[in-house]
This record gives sequence, structure tokens and C-alpha cells, in this order.
Amino acid sequence: MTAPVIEFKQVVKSYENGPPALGPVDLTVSAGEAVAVLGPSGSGKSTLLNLIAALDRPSSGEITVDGVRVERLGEAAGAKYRRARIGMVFQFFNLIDDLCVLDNVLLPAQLAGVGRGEARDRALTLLSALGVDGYAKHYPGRLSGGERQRVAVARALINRPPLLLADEPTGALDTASREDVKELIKDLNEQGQSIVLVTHDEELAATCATREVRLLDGRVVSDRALSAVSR
Amino acid sequence: MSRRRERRRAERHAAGARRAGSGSVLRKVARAGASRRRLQSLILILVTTGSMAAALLAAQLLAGVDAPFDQAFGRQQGSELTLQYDATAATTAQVAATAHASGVTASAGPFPTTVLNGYTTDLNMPGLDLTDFPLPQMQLIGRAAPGGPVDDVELTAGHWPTAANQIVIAEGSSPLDGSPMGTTLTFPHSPGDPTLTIVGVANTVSQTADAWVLPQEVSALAPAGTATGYEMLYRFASAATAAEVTADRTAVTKGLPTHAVTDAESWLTLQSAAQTGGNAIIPPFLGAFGILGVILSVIILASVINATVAASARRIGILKALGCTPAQVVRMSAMQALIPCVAGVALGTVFGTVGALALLSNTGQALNVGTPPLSMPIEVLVPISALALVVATAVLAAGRAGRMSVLDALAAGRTPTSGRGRAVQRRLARTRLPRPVSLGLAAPFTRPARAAALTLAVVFGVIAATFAVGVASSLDHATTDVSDNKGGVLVYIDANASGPPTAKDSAAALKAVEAQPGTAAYVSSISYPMSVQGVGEDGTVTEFSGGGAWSFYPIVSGHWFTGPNQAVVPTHLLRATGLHLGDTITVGEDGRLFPLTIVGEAFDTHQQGMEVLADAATFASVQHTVPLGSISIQLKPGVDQAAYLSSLNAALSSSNSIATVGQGGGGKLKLIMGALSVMMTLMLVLVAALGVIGSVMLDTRERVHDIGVYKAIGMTPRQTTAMVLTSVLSLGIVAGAIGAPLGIALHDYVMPLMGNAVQSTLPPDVLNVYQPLEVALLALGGIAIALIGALGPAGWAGRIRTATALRTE
Repeated sequence: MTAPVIEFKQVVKSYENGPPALGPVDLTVSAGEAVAVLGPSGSGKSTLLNLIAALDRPSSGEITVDGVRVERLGEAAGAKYRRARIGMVFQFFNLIDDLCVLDNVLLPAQLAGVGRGEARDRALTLLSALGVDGYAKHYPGRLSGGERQRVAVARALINRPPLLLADEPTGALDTASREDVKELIKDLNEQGQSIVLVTHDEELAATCATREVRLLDGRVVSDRALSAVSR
Repeated sequence: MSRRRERRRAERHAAGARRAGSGSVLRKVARAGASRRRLQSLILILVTTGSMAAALLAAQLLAGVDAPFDQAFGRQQGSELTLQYDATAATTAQVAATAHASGVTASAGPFPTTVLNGYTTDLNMPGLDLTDFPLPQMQLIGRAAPGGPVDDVELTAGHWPTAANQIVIAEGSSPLDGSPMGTTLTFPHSPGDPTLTIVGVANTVSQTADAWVLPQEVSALAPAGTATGYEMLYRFASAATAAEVTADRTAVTKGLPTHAVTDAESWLTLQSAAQTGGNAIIPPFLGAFGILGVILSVIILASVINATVAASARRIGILKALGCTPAQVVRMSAMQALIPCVAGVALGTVFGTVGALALLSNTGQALNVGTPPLSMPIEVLVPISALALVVATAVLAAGRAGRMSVLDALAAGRTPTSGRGRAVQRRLARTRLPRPVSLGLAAPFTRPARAAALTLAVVFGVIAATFAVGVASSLDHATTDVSDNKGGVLVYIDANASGPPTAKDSAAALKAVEAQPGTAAYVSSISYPMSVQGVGEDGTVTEFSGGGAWSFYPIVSGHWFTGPNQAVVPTHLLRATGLHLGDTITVGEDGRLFPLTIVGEAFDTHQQGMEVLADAATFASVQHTVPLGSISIQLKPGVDQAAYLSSLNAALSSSNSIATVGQGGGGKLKLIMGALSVMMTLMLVLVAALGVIGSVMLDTRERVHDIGVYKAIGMTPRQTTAMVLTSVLSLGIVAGAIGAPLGIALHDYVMPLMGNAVQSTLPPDVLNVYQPLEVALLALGGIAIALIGALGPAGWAGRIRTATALRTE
């Protein structure tokens, strides 16, 4: 059995003394897994993702990601943790419109203090691997949705994070681009990348994930491995 | 017909209802916008308050320093002719009857008066201990109340005397000026050695008294054997020229005994002194600050309103998507900006008025013109103009936002997507600078107009600081360094005496100075009236003697005299007579003429710059009865100044003289101008910093989503703070580089105006005051203002939680 990359122990998250938006949740994700988190709106999917990324703190419980106790991290430590261990892909890409594609991809590496030359080589390799190296000097506004999401994935992977978090990665894409991104996520996982993706898209989950976790009203109501056939 | 009219009426009614409906909805949206966006509203209130206060204060100052003597003279119904009558030569009834002379339109008096000498005081303030010294003469007037048809005296502190032992001091009545209430004065030469308590300070621009008591107290205070007199104040139908005043005087004194009038003062003399005396330098100085304040306020207010509306672009996009027309968007934006700005204007009016009152009081004190009142038209016009500026800027900015496509407007919250600044961004990304720093440095280029406005605000802050430092330094040179006795410590001996000092006192003082072992050299001066070519009988000559070879006044051109028959003259005298260096100026007394070669032009405002300075040897044949004015002493190296002063004062005790550390002229003027310039500079720097805070905060809020993205991909709070701070760093550098030279240029433009105000050319030492290191530090002030202003927003950007930033729309 591979080492867990994520461990949730009795994690609860409540907002302003309201009912728990999430939890209590116990969840373990092993390295190399691609876990799709599914559920209706308000089920706690985004809260779960924010807790893993240290964008938010749990009300109680323990979260360990790649050996780091996440719930204790402050803003600065959280930023460093995300740099080193998390790659994030957002529904609306969140590329910086004023930076060209290459500079967008380079940004996390440069923030981490990686030399520009080294980071540039890695960025160009990633862009090439993701099929968007031709757009390195372009600005995000000129790219299609699928291309932008590929750039966002390249940016997420620039620091070789052990975990990739994707929040509705196909939510803002047309059909062709959606297929494109599905393939990309599947390929990444097949290369050993641990992935947690939050989605409404059952088909995306079925295609890309090795495991499916369903949430309802903040609780895990189903957690099952997906067969290779279904993928 | 009637049906058609009814239909038209119904249509008009419906249209009106629609307009009213949309108006009410817009008002609701605007109100909600202002109250929901609390930070934005708070910034607007703060900036509007600061700008409004600064603009109002500056405008009031500009009005207050415009012909201050004339303003005060009109306000106080100043005395156009003040006559002193000898009580033994004219009766009260005779003097009172002069009020009915031809041409007199108003009069006050007769007021009983006497002159007191040698009184002592318990005044002991830091830097001014007068407890042991008999003080010089004081003209005391008996007056029941400060008000009246002529010389409506302004009580600036305390109250008018209500009892026998109370006295009110005239503002500017040295050395008691600035005495706190409760200070006591003892008159040892008056019957019973009475002690009076200072209960008030009052201003008379007509300078009709040094102090006031109740009328019945004058005779009781008059020293035994001293004659009392009457003072009478007049205003005339025509007194605009010296000839008219002379004619008025003749009319008033017609029929009185020949020697009834012992002294006369024309308002024209006072006006001339006010316009050309040392205080005349204040209006151009404050005027420059006033103009800076108004311009800065307009820039700050306009740029922050513009940024506020621009920051609402997404909201405008939503409203347009819902069907708002561009005109409605403009109205809504103007209303939304107006709501907090009205509060800011109200607060700013209060603060500006309070500040203006304090500043006008200080200025009035410096100019000795009472307290100039607030200008009511300015109190009304400035707030209205500020609101008009707010509406105009909001309408322009909203017009721009209204013309944006809905999609572009909805995309707000992210860094602008235009090509502006991308080249800079790309180049900076390739440098070795830490990425947050290069991102910050590139930020201004994405919004060049906003960055320019912000830079301009900082530029004005730096100009103000540079100008203030320069003026303070120039004043220091012009007043402290009146002598070039730089080899030792300057010590002045002022003939402050328990009676008019005599030539005998002067001889004793000189003897005492010469006897001091610490004396290296000295120069003594005596001023006396002499006819001067081009000036007439009212001229003054100041002669210098002693072994010292230093100049008493800064030299503008030429050199200090090196021997007899040479003259150094102030600029005003040169201009008035049309003489130049190398020309001969003739002075004379009792038929003896002394032709002197002009060898130097001095910066000297004494005697309104109309005196001739020369070596005493020139006038060896003239017998003087006037005492020494002062003695400038150079101490031997290593002599302790305090010990020297103490020893010299002990030796001077019998000569009616005191030795003090020389501050030159203008000590009080320098202090007040220093305080005014510090206050004005702080205010302008504060307003500039407020502008930076507002602009950077709005800019940061506008880019909050991007900040969330930066943080999500690993930017630490410290890196975020550094990014925001560096976004203003380049602006601060540019502003410093522009502002410091402009501040120097303003100084170089205003200082000669200040010199012209006192009819003098300023010497190079007074003009060239900026040192390279000082200029470098002032230029760095731009960075300081920008960084101080950006600290708050940068801290906020660093602290904001990533999830919150990402969620922010």
C-alpha cells in the first residue's frame, strides 16, 4: 500500500456558528490516486478543496498533506506549503491577464526563488508536453478555454507538487476543450500524479478518476474505487 | 380635443412616474453602493476631508495675506492720524473739540496717556528671563473699552481691564509680547510702586498704544513730575496722500496753542512700514503654500474619485447588463460618489475652518494685524467647488465606464487586460529582481493615468517640503547671520534701559566690553537721523566703530566699507535713489555734507531699508548725543560664551545695557514663519499621503482577485506586501526626482518676491541654501511619502486571506 498523500481525521468546518459546511469527515488519499469529489452545490466540495490547499482552516480535526499538518499553517506558511506541495487548477483558470503565458507558468517557481533559467526550461518542457508551447509569448486573452486550462495546469505543475487540486477544471469549457482537459488529467494521473478534482461532471469523474467520493450536506455518503473499465 | 389633451396629460404623467421610479431605484442603488462598500466610502470620506480642509485652509490663507495691513486697517476703522497732546498746553475740552474740525468723519478720544520707564516684570519663560531687568518705555493709554468709531482694538486674548490693577498689552509690544496672562508688571517710578497684572492682549493696527488701563488709572500711574497727555484718533474724508494728511492735521490743530501737539503718526507711515518692513516677506511665502495646497487638493480629490468610479466598473457592468442606460450609470455613479463626499466636505469644512482660524491668528500675530477674519465667500465657495469637482470627476469617470462593453466591465477585479504596461512587465520579468518586486514595479504602467495622478500628488508633497526647508534655511541665513562675524560667537548688547540710554551709558558699555578678557574684537553701531541724498531729512545714518572688520549685514553685491568716506547702502535706498555701486551718495547734518562712495549693497531691512551704513571715522567731526545701538563682539577662541555673558552682564549693570546671545533680527518672525511652514508642509504631505493611501487602496481592492491568485499559487503575505509597496516605489522615485528640483525652483522664484516685498535684493547666501546631500534627502522624501501612504493598503493586501481574495468580486 502506498503512503497517504492526504489524511483527514474528524475534520469539521463550520462558518460563523452555523451548521457544519463539512464534516465530520475522515478521508485518506494515497499517492498516485485521482480522486473525484462529487456532490450537489453546497455539499462541501469546495470547502474540502480549500482545506486541503490551506486556503481555509478547519473548525476541528486534523489534516495532513504530504506529511504536513495543514490545519496549523498560517498565511505565510500556507503560501510556502502551496508552492511546494500543491498545484491548483481553477474553473476560470485564474491566469494573470497581463503576464504572457510563459510568465504565468514561471510565476510559482519565481516566487519560490527558483532561478529563471532553470524555471524557464521546466516551463517550456511543461508547455511543450501540454501542447501549448507555441503560445509561450501570447497573452491568456488570446487563447481558447482549453488552451488556457492547459496553461493553468502547466503553472500548477511547475514546482513539481505531489498533489494537484482541480476545482471544476472543465466547468468553463466547451465540449472540445473539455475532452482535451479530461485526457490531460487522465494522462497526468497515469504518469503518477496524485490528483483531487472537485466536479459536477460525472463523465469527467468517470473518465479521469481512480476513486469517487460523494458528498451530501458536508458528509461523505459514498466512497468507492472506480474500475479501469469505467475509466 | 379634450380627449387628446387628457391623453397627453396621461402620457406626461406616465413618463414622470417612470422617471421618478428609475430615479428612486438609482438613488437606492447608489445608497446601497455607498453603504456596502464601506472601505471605499471611508477612503472617499478621508480623502475628501483632507483635501477639503487643505483647500479651504489654503484659500483662507490666500485671502488673509492679501494686503493684510489694509484689511486690518479697514476692519479696525484704523486711525488715519493719531495726535498726542500736551495736557499742560491744551485742555480736555480743547482737545475734544478737535473732533469737530473740518474734514473729520470720525474720532476717538481724548484718551489720557503717559509714558512709563523702568518697570519690571516677573516674566520668566523658557528662553526669556526678564525678571531682573528694568524695561524700556511704554506708552500707556487710558481707555474704558476696546471698541469705538476709530481704532476698534481687537482683543486677541483675555479681557479688557475692569479694575485698577489690570493692564492689557498691545500685540507686538516687545519685550512683553507673548507674556502669559497673569504676568505682573511693577512700576517703581510710579507713586506707591504699583503692580499691575496682565489680563489681556490686544491688537491695534494703528499702533496707538503699548498698553491700556482704565482711564482713571493713568494719572495714578504717571511718575511724579511726569506730564500726562491726551491721545486723539481721527479719520478723515480724505487722507489718501501725505499732503491730504498734512492738511487734515492743520485743520484739526487750528486754533490750538503752538506746542499743544507733542507727537503725530500718520497711517501712511504705518502702511509703508507694513508693506516694506520685515513682515512683508510673509504674504508671498504663505501665498505659495496656499496655491500648492489648492492645486494638490484638486489633484488628490479628482484622482481618488476617478479611481473610485473606475473600481466600480464591475458594478456598472452588472447594472448595464440589467438594462441601465449609460446616462443612468453616470447619474448613479455621481450619486454614489457624492454620498460619502458630502460627509467629507462637511468634515473638511469644519477641520479647514478650525485650522484656518489658528493659522490666520498666527499669521495675524506675525504681521501684527490682529486676527484676519474668515472670508465667508470662501467658506461657501470652496465646499461648493469641491462638490462640483466631485460630481464633474464622477460624471467623467462614469461616462468612461458607461461606454465600456458590458463584458469588459464585468471582467473588472483583475489586472487591466489592455496592452499597456505589458512590455514593461515582460522586461521586468526577465530581470534578476525578486518576482514580487518586479511585479510591483510594473504595476503603475497598467494604469498610467492613475499612476500619473498619484505621482503628481507626491510631487506636490515633495515640492512643499523642499520649499519649506529652503525658506527656513534662507530665513536662517537672512536673520541669524546678519553679521559675517563667523570667527567667534556673536554677542549683542542691546541698550535696554530704565530710561532712555545715554551716551554715557554707551561709553560705559564699550569700556566694559573692552575690559573683558574674552573679547577678541568688537564693532559698535550708532544710528541717528541725517539728511540723505534722495531721501531728505528723514534719512538715517548708521556708523560703525571698533576694531572688528566684519560686515553687519549680508552683502548682496560689492563689499563692506574698508575705511572712511565709503558707504554701504540697502537695496531699497539704491532703488529709491537710482544710484549704483561706485556712485556718490551725500549725507549731511547742520550744513555739513559728507559725500560717500557706495562700495556695497547690503541686505538690510532696518529703517525700511533707507539707511546709509558707514565707518564712524567718516563722521568724526559730528558730536552725537544718541547712545549706541548695539555692539557685536567676537570672542577669543575657547572662551565659554555663557561665562562671558555672565561676566559681561555683571560689568554692564551700571550702564543700562544687557548682553544677550545675538539672534539678529527677526527672531519672532523666524519662529512664526518656521511654525507656519512646518504646519503647512505637514498638512500638504499628509494630504499627499492620504491621496496615496486612497489611490493604492482602491487599486489594491480592484486587483484583489489577482492578489488571491498570487497567494493561491504561493505568494506569501510578506511578498504580497512587498509587491504593493514596490508598486509605489518607482512613483516615489520619479516624484522625488521631479519634486525636489521644482521645490528649489519655487524657492528661487518666491524668495526674490519676498526680497522685493522688503524692497531688497537677497544676497547669494540667502538664495543658494540647498546642499547636495539635503537635495538628495528631499528627493528621497518622495519615496517616503509614497511608502508611508502605501503601507496601509500593502498591509491589508498581505493580510487578506487567500480564499476571501479569490471569492471577492
